[in-house]
Amino acid sequence: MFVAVLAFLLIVAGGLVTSNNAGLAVPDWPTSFGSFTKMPRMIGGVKFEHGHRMVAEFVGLLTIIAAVWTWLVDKRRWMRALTIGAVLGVIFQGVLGGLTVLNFLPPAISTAHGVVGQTMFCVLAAIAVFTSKSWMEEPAESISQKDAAPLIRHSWMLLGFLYLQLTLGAAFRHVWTKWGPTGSDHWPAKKIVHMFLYPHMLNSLLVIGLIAYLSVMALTKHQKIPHLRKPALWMLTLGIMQMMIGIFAYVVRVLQSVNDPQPTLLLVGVTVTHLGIGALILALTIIFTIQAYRHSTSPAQVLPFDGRKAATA
Amino acid sequence: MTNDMKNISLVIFCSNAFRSNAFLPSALVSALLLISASGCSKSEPAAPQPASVPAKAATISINPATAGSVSGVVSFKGAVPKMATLDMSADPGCPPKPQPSEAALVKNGKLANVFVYVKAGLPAGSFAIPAEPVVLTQHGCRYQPRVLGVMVGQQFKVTNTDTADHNIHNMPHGNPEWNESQMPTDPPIVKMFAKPEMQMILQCNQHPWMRAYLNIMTHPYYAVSAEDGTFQIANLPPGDYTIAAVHEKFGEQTIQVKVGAKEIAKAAFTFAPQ
Repeated sequence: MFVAVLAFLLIVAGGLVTSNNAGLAVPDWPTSFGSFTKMPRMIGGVKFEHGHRMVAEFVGLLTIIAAVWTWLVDKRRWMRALTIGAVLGVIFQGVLGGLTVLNFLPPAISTAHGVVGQTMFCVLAAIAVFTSKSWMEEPAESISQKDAAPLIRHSWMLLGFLYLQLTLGAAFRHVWTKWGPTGSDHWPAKKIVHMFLYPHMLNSLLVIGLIAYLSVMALTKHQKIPHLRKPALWMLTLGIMQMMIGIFAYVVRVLQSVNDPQPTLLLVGVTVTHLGIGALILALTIIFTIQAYRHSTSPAQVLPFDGRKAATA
Repeated sequence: MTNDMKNISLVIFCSNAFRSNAFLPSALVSALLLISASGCSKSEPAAPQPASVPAKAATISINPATAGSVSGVVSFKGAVPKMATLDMSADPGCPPKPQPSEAALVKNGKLANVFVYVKAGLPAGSFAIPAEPVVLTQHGCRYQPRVLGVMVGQQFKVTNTDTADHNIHNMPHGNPEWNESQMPTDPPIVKMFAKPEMQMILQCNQHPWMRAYLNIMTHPYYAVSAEDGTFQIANLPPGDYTIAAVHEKFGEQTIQVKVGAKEIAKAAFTFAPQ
């Protein structure tokens, strides 16, 4: 759980780097100003970029420790594999971060860095669920396969649209920073908005629609199952907030700040909040999906989680 | 080329550790990719890149007895866009008080920092490259000058007179991109450019308000409008020319001028809010 919380902070720190246009404040990688150990002056863009690297290293270290710990104490093979996957994912994410610095923030790599970063946060959040006390216990309530099927189907649909949403949002931010008004100014703001932001806004309607559907289902039909009700309630609350903050971010970024000579506190605050809430919604959707599988009456057919099998045996 | 990446191999790991019906965790893990990268070159040293300079064509010599010039003024009509002040207080090496922006410098209806150049009409051939470098100074956490020109193959030198650390990052259309840090005691960074390019932005990512506009030319016929909007392009051979004026906020304008022998042709540009 602690590692997942730190991973969320890492996502926020990464958002601060992009919103402050500080991605190249430290020009080298994996060293910072030629050194692995020397702390640079944490001033200006350096405090965002080097701060992000420091949090990333800490998250990487804790993920490795969590994987070793899992290998030692957890008998579930899939759980061990998942933590190894988390370590490989964190390493991959670090390499993506390095590649984007060494190649001067190409939007494709920077966008991939943003998407993989949120994916790793979700993996660590899932690990937190799988290692929780409640996961080891038999669920008090279950859902028939007939009722679980639409939940699971729509959860996967939501995940797909959320990834599209994340990719479009990250692409907008990184194209804007690299080729747009805050970068080389090769691409007019209008072109970037048409290519990435309008599809992002359109897709948000599908996302909020699916969140509303799943939330209504969880809060009415399955209200006795707290493991579905709670994430659904948070998804709905954050989804509505995200829509409003998204509109605000559009106004601040595209309508107000396009000619600003430097990122304002308002711009940074709004865009990073939008990014952070997006990451939370994605993680909650993953957790909701996992819990929907777990509470289905025939979980062994879809998820052979050792704890549950042992409990039902 | 700076920081070119070599031998990048991409391996996709799909975990086989799961049984066939354990698709949720396996779907999460199978999304993980591993890139092993080797041979990432570090930032190139602060040295010119002579290999990238194109081969010289016949150098054009100008007859001083007949050479003329173009001079004029750049005006601004309409309401001057209000520019936000610069907050440099995040770095103690920069001015602590809010500073005015230089993005649209209008004084008494005259516009500064307009790059004026000969766009067409010059005789075919190459022009002698000045031996002295063009110097860009980081002073007061600004680039000075904000707008400048350099010829293809001419040295471009960046110095830091601040007590603050900077990084200089160019954002080219066709020339190689680079990003180098420069501490207060560091020697100048010297570069050359192989291809002509207009309004290449130079940026400091430590201080995001720092921006300069570099124009890389194949000839020496360019000038930047002063505070009073005036400019002069000297030593032009007689002929008909297209003169262009480009500003970072207000775009580009062109006019036609005829330069006679020993004549000073007049050119006037008027920009307006967009």
